[in-house]
Order: sequence, then structure tokens, then C-alpha cells
Amino acid sequence: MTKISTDTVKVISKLAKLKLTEEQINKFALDLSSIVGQMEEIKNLDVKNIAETARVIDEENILREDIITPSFNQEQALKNSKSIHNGYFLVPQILKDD
Amino acid sequence: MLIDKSIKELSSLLKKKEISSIDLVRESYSQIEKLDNKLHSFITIRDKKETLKEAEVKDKERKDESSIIYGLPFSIKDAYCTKNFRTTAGNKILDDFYPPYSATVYKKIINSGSILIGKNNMDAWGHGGSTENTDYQPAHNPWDLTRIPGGSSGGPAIAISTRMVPFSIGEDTGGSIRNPSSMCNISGLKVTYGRVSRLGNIAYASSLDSVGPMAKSVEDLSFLLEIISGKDNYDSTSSRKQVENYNQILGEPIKGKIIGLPKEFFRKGLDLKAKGTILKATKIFEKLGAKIIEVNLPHFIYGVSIYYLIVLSETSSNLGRYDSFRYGGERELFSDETKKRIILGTYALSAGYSDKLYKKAQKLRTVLIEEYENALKKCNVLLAPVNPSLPSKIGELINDPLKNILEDLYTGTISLVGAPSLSIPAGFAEGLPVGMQIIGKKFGEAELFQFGYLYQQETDWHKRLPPILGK
Repeated sequence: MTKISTDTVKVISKLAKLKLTEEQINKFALDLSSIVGQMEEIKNLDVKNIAETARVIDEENILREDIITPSFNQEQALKNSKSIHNGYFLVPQILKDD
Repeated sequence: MLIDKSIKELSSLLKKKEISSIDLVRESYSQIEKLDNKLHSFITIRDKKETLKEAEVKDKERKDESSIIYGLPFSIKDAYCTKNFRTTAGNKILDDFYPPYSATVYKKIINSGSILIGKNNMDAWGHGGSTENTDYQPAHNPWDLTRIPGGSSGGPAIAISTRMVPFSIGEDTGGSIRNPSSMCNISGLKVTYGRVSRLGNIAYASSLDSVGPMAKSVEDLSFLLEIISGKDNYDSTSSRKQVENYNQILGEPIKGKIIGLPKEFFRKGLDLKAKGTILKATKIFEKLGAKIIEVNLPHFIYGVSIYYLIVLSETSSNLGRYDSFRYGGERELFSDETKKRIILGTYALSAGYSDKLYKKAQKLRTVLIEEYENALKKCNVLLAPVNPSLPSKIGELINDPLKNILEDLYTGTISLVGAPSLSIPAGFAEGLPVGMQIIGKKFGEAELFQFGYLYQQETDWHKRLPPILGK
């Protein structure tokens, strides 16, 4: 059975921006291994030449008229944030100064 | 008990001024005050004084042409944005989130004149089938307080079952309306994907999420569906297909129609007592003139794997927006159940695994759709169980990750196809409600109502009240 190792949980949780405790890492590795083990049942199913389905609605381009209508004002847009500065959302620096 | 009456009856009594909206709102709060500390159907309840004032206005302003749901109290799963009124999705990340806009489905109900009583408890983000994965107290089944009410729309199902409100709006991704409807003995509809706008619904899996009504009967659902359906300029996955008068077809005979029973849904894994109850229901349909045949959905036995690979991948992406900067708290506040789902979804999408996991599941989804369409060439509708087991004891499913996901076999698979499915009471086993699914062609909700309505004329399961009401 495919096992999800604690190392895999550590790597994936970093990608998913989740900080886990040691206890969570161990528990999740066990729980997820059992679920992935269940999913092995699709391993040998032949899907050659079958297209992927991404959407189950047959209609396409369900668009609206390109007309500007009022949306949120700045106050409404910012009101749920705990991290604002001078009318901006304040976020951690991502790009380093060179 | 006024709220035990149908929407049609309530509307008529309100029109004739034999009762008032104030009466209904008072009864609603009285039920909640009596029962909700044992059940935890609600997360946030509106201020009673404010709601009564609104009811007073509704009583004054009612017109002849007012909607059939004008002046009725209702509740809504806390997965829907309600402008300036707290919306949590069941998790502390959004504990103090006050949306700057309202969901389209909520606006449609309010514009028809109904009165919001409160936001219902749910498995956070839709992650669960038991309303235990919530930061606002696990919910309890009104038929047996030691058991789960189902989920993730457990809160709405409890509220209707105990007559706190006559109707509610839930959400169904892999069974989240059907499952609790079955476990709480009410009627719920998973609509065809695209029938109802998803704007303002806090997303679980965007290619499956379906907004839908929950109520005491098929007749009630038929009124609600007409009100909430239709194309929305703000949801590019909402269908342009015309909204039908769903009430019109009620009462039309089903003589000569064919019901398919999927072989794969009635084999081992289904609780024998639940199976017996549902097979008894087929006798009623035969009495009404329908023919029962067996159909095959061969790859549906892999449904749980296909379903979970897709929903977990989609949810890991959707929940990426909770970065605590624009709204909401830190990601640490996600429950363990949700964190596990995000990790599994991220894994299924990651380089080296996405081909054999996510993409393979998408290809198998194509296979399921083809098998489904072939089955429906041989019959008008399918009849299926809702859950493999009777409502579990609280704590059982949430502590067994594998058993938890296996509960979605009969419902998640139908969601993958995008088909509509009606969940209605079919009887009782060991004193616990057993529901059944009537599943149809895409945009075939009218036909589901046709079958369901006649069944509810011949049976009274849906009228039974949970023992906690003492009646």
C-alpha cells in the first residue's frame, strides 16, 4: 500500500502553507496513507484515449454585457482585513530588494 | 404548530390574514429557544426584536401578487455570504467575517419577501457528512441526540425537521443536502450543476458545488426551486436554460415510466435494514404504475476514489485564498480534518503525482458520465440509497477517516456527473430515518418532483415528527 511518509507530509504542508505540529505530521501521515491506500483501487483501470472532464455544464461562454456597474467601495473592500495601511492591504514582502 | 404546515398553506393563511408573519417568526424563535441548545442547528441567530420588526413590515406591505414565500421565516447554511451579517463557513478563520455582498440565492429569497432567522451549522467548508467538523459545536440528530444529523448541511436539516423554519437553503457537493435530509427525515434537492447561481457560496469544489433547497416536502421544494433558479450574470457556470414552473407537473401520473435501480448501489456495504426500507419504496412506485428494472453503472464502484481525488484537489486550490490578509484569520485555524484534505488535494495535484491521481480521476469522471447517460437511456429516473449506513453515533465517523469518506459513495458519484437528485424520506429502520434518492437527467428536476410528489401522496414518512418535539 502506498504510504504517505512524514517527510511527504512536511513537504506538501509547506506547499499548502500549513504549519503542522510534530503530532499532526505523524497522525496525518497515518490517516492519509489509509485514504491513499483506498485510492489505489483505480491504479489498474485503463483510461488510455479517454479525455478528461473538467466541467459538467455543456454551455460555453456564459458571459454578461461588458458594462461597468458599481462594485465595492474601498472601505467595504478593506473592512474585513486586520492588515491594512493607508487604504492598502499590507502583505509580507515576497520579492527581495537587490 | 404553524410551521408544520406546507408553504402553500402558510401562504394562504397569511393572505387571508388568519395568521401573521409575526406569529410565524415568534414560533420560530420559540422552537429555537426550546431546542437548539441540545441540537446546535444554528451558528448565528438574528436579533429577535429586529426580526419581529421586519415581520411587522411584511404583514403591512403584503400584496395580492406577493410571492408564495413572502413573510415566511427561513434559515440558510452558513456557507452563503449575507451582506454585513456574520458568515463563518463553520470555521474560526471566518469567525468575524462580515461579507460586503450577498449570495445571489440569498438575495432571491429575500427579494421574494422571506425573513432570515439565522445561519445554520455545517461541516466547515463542506468538509464532512456529519456536521461534526465544525468550530461551533457538533450538531445532534433530533431523532436520536447521540447520533449525527448528517452533513455538511446538518444545521438546515435539523431546523426543518424540528419545525424551527419551514425551509432552508443548503449546499451539496457530494451529498451535503441529500445526506442530512435522509438522516433528519426531510426533503432536499441537489440541483443539476448550473441550475442555481453559486455566486456568494463559499466554494468547496467548484466543478461540483450545487446550491439547493431543503424543506418538509417535494411540493415545498418545487416552489423554492422556481424562485432560486436561473442564469446569473455573476456566475459564468449558471445555465441559460429556461426555469420551468416546477409546481405544475405535481400530480401528473407516472404510469408507464421506468425506474432503474443501479446494481452497484445495492450490493454489500449498504446497511441491510436501509436496503429493505428502500426496496419497500419501490412497491409504492409499482403501485403507481411505474416499472422497476436493474441498470448497471460498472465504474461507480470506484466512485469514492474518483470523487475524493477531484474534490480534494479543487478544495486545496479554493482554500488557498484564506491567506489572512484580505479577510479571515490564520491558516492554523483550519481543523485537522480540513488540513488533511488540503494536504491530500495538494499531493494529488503535485508534480509526479497529478497524472496518476488527479488527471486519472478526471478521465474516470468521463467514464462515469458515459455510463450514467447509457443507464438513463433505459429508464426515466434512477432510485438509490443515500447513505451506506444509518446515522452513526457522534464521534464514530470523524475519528475514522476512511469510513468517513466511504459514506459518500452513492451521492458523490452522482455529483460527478452533474445530475439532479432528490432525497426524500422512505421510512425508518431501528427508529432512525432512511431516505432515498430519485436521480434524473440533467435539468430534469421536474420529473424528479413528479415521482417524489406522488410517493408523498401515498406515504406519510415525511410528515413524521422527531420525538424531541414531544408530539
